[in-house]
Amino acid sequence: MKAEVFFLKYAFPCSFIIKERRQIDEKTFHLLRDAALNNKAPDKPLLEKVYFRAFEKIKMVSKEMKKDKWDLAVLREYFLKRHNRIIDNGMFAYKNAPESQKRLCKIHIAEIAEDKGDCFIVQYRENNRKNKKSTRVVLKELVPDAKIGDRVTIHYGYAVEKIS
Amino acid sequence: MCLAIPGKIIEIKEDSAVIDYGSERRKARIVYGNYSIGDFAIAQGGIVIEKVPKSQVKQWIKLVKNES
Repeated sequence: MKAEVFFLKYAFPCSFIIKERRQIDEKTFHLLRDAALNNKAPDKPLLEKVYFRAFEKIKMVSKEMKKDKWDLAVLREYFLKRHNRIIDNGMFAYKNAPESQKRLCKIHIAEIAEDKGDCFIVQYRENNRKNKKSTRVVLKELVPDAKIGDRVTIHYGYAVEKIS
Repeated sequence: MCLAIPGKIIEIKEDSAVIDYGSERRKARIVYGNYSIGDFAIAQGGIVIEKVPKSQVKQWIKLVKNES
């Protein structure tokens, strides 16, 4: 998978917040949604501009790993490992974030329990609730071919990527 | 579509909720979870995804509106 496509799948679920902050207009939002849904790769400079907050942190990871910020290994390390740790540690803007937002913002691996047509009911484990599974609903449009029993990553209201 | 701030559920008919954001109202579908009129919730892509405790609503709005 191209790095831009991978990046956008994970970053797109945050776009509604960026749109609310008027940092992108409707047109750009729909361009990004179309790209995320159809595995298109938008220009890197556009992605770096829109998701500048993510890149602040990705640059940090890329320095540590001594690899380019667009290296897939760096992006995977950021989204699948560091991102939740940054939230848990209250770094950057997460310092003042409400608990319910931090919960949605974290990336989890979840199992699809039900298919509701345009969305899935998924179950996953949260760090602070080890003994109890959490359940929530996520849109399936980024992974339309995923099925009940499959494991997917979730971010905000979206299933993001099928995990084999 | 969706707004990034929590809205207040002011009407529920079967699985359809009307969410009031102050400046506008939008419809969203309740697919999972128990929601009641008066609850605050986040919707994305026309689906109610998470309840927001009333005590966290101001913090949400502040974070979304003020952080640039």
